[in-house]
Amino acid sequence: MSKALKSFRRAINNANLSRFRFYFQAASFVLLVYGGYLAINIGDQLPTFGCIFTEHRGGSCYLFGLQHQMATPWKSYLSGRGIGILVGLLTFFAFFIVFNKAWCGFACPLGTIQDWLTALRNRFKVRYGNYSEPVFQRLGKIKYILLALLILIPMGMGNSFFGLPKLNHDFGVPFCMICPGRTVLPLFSGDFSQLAIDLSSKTKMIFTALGLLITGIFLAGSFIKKRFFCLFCPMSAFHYIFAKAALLRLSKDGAKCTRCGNCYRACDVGIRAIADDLEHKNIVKDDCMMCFKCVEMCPEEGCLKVKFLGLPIYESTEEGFFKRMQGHNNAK
Amino acid sequence: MASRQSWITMKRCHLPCCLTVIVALFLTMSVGQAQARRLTPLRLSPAPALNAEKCEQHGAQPVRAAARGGQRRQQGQRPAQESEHRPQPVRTYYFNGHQRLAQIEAFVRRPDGSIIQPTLQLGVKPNLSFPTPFGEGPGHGANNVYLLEQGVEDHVLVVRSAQWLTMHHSCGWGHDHKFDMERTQPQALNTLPLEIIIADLWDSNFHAKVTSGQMLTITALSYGKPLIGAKVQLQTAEKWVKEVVTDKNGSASLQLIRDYYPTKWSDFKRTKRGKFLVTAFYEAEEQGVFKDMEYERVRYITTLPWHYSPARADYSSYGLGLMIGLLGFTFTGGGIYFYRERRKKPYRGISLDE
Amino acid sequence: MQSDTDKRFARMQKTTGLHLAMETEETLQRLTEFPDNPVSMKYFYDLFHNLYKDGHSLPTAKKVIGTICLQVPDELIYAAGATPMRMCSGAYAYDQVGAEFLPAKSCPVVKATTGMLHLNQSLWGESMASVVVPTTCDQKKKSAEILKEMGYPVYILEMPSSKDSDDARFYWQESVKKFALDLQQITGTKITSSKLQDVIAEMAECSRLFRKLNELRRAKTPLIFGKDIFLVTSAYFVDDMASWRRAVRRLIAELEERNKNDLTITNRQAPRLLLTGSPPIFPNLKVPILVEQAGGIIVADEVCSSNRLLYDTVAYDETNLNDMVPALADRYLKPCTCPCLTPNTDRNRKLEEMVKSHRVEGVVYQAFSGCLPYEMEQKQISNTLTEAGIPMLYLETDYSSEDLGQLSTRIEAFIESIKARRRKN
Repeated sequence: MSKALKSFRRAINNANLSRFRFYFQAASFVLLVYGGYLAINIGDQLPTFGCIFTEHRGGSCYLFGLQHQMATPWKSYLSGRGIGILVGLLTFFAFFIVFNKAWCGFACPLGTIQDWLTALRNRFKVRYGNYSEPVFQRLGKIKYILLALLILIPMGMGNSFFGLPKLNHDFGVPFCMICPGRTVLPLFSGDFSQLAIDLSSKTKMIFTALGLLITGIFLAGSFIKKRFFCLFCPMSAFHYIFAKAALLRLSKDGAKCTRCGNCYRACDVGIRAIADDLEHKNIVKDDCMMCFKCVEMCPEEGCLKVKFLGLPIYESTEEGFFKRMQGHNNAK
Repeated sequence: MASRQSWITMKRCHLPCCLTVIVALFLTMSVGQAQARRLTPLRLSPAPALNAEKCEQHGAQPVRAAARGGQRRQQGQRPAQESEHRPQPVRTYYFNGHQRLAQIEAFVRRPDGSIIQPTLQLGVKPNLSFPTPFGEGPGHGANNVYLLEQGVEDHVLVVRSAQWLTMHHSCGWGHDHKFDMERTQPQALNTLPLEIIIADLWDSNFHAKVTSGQMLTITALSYGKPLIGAKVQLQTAEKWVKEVVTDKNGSASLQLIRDYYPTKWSDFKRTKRGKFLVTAFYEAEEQGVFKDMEYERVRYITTLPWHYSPARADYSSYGLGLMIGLLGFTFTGGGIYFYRERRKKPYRGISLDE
Repeated sequence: MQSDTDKRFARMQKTTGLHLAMETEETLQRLTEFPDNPVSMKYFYDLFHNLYKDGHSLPTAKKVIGTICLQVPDELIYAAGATPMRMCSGAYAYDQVGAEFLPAKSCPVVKATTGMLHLNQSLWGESMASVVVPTTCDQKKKSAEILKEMGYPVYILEMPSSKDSDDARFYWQESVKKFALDLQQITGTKITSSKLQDVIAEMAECSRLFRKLNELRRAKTPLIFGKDIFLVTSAYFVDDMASWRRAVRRLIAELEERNKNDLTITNRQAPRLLLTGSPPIFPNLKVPILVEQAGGIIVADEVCSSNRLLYDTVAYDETNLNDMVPALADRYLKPCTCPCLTPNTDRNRKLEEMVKSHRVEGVVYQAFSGCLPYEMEQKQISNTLTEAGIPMLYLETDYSSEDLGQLSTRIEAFIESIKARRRKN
């Protein structure tokens, strides 16, 4: 390794990634929520919560399209409609595979809002909440249930399950109806229309009421618990299906780990394995949002590494850790 | 350009044609007087969609019903509505009859600005049809369909036209042109003697968006220039009528009425599409000769139908939404607060039930 | 009028003081006997010389809170406006005094500490606001009761005997939070977020410096003897943090200079050893000195008077007390490899990793007779090291100098065997 490259990597490893992430998040928030004003639209198959209900968005969540496409009769899956589904999935995959779950930590507008709420709470000196490990494990399963439902309910609209009647159109995009992204994100472009209860049918009424109830819970919950919603996010569950194939990775060298738990402390989601798992090299868990705060907080040389295509791009170093902790202190 | 050519062809008049016009004029002289005062507007209506799938949300009718639509319609059934979500390869529109002696022509202004001439079929079921090929590119957006009929009746040049907006779009093609002003805003054709332009009929995703209670801004244009003093009338399917006159900018605003009042809440359909017809009428003291026939004045009339849905305010409530949202918020916030307070109290010990 | 006991006590105080000064001088002499000692080590030699010169005095006039184990979060004590002082003693003179209170077979660290506190009570009693004893090993727990009886304001810091479960972790966090509250009562000073941040940063600088030393010991060229490192870390028990840091910075600069000039402290071929087990605390640097006199060099250690004391770091996410205090608690429990915890497999892993990172050729396992947890863990550590192909020397010793001859024979043999192994490979 040349000297220049060495000092460049040292500078990178000493960097305060969280600060960079803060600005990056703000920029992608602007892009995804206001991109339309700049005539930017990076597509509707994003592996993150840009919201289709935001009028001037710069890109939107794949789950909307997925739910929309799943409401297809079985026989049409083999026709052009099937190709459409496949193309959607491949586009999603192409976006996802490069950045892995860093979409959650760096791009997701809903995640960013939660981080802002966390900063607000910190300013008010309110302490954060935490789940105990068993509760965390139990709650973590909800996202898989939501993922299954958001595929099965639209399927039940296009098809009849077990001879039951098909679900009506009001069941369309069921997850979007209960997603706080739908209610909260349009607010940023001055659109309050998603805050209304739709009384036009029972189904709509229940869905919109549930959506707003969840929005209320979301706001209060993520004020107290860091990244409150992420534990339930079906996008996170969907990501995890493909996460093993992604190019961006977080890897851990178990031998170097002292189990000091700094990483677990820093983890906004509360993944315990980051501190206690000593066997797996690829440490990206289903709840991970790849914010890499754990890497920042790890004082062990090269114990945690962010790798892209196998090449380390950011890794934990002693020097970097102390620099950041000192900066933490000066920043107060 | 296309229309200018047709003006030229108009002057090449044949003798038999002229004769019939004269005979017809004599025959209709008596009733003509009354007819001239109350012109029957020309209207376009879509032929039932043959390839459309059932789509409750967007009002297109099931395939079976559509196939038999031809006969059914005569029994009073409404024709299938168009859906901007389910494009068809060919569009056909019927029109409500025409003056046999008048000159009739049709154009379609496609979303990319090109103009094509649809196939006109006059006869028992007069109609026009034109291709709307699938895919993105030129076909994406609003097609303006025009039918123009001109003829002199009783020394009056009657210019009747009918407009139709065909939203040719599928969300499957994406919304690539959503920032394209020329496609998201209504476009006019400056070769038409009278044309109606209504703002905000569709959104940037090419979905119809008019709701009851909405203010509509209607502009009357003549050869692309604003027309002052034209009478603009809006009529809903329920026969509610409102008439306004265009101002110096050629435009007039009127509020669309709410006329959907199902008796029971459960009968209410959010997706219900009411129809309305906008008619513009204008009369000018102009002398001239059209097809060797002199006229002393000109009457213009044109129609543009569109549809509207119930306003969101009719079936949604912000108050309830806010209440439920607050409920969730306070429930969670309060829950956390009380949980934390509870935890501060010392451990109470175990009590056994007897 | 002095009673007999008082007279006897005064006599004991005097003789112990003399013994202590002798012991100190002897150890310092043996430490300085080595050739090429870094110039900047003089600060530490002088520090201990002055500390025990005439009577054992507390090096600060400030309010002192004694701690009997490294498990006590010093940051909180500093933030509460007092000075923490680690009371664990390595003096044989005190060990003998402590034998009055504890069984002869008990651990010399506990005995010496108890003896020291007994003897100096009249001198220190005023400035000792509290003696904090974490519930780590049984002997420390029992010594706490003895100290209480002597009249010391003993604070029992409850610590779980396991660290893996969430329950243990939260129990400890609550315990530390309670300690923070009680400290404010004891010192009458409020712990604030900004004060705590400053202290954490200061102590982080200490561990940064220690880690720097640790890194220098990793160098192929032996730069500093282990005996000096133990002196530096023993100084951390009692020294003012700021002056300690200055001295360590000077030492680091000197070692870096030596490294640049490829100056070695000893034979380049000296077998690289790791010391683990019961803590070598000044003046009891018997084993390290013997090892290094015999031609080995201690390049790494895993003891609670050195590595475990300074290596680990505090990482907090938010600058409010409700996050920082639990973060402190985590630092003192999660990475801890004290054998009083069960299971303690992290110790095996840590040793394995150190063996690799410091290219260690042999491990010296020191267990004080009476220090049961270390004695009992010997087997499992030995197994792990055997698997890794690293020879281990198990030494059971105490603070007395009686076993010097026997120890040096065994140590020399061990070092010879490592050299022989090297020749074979």
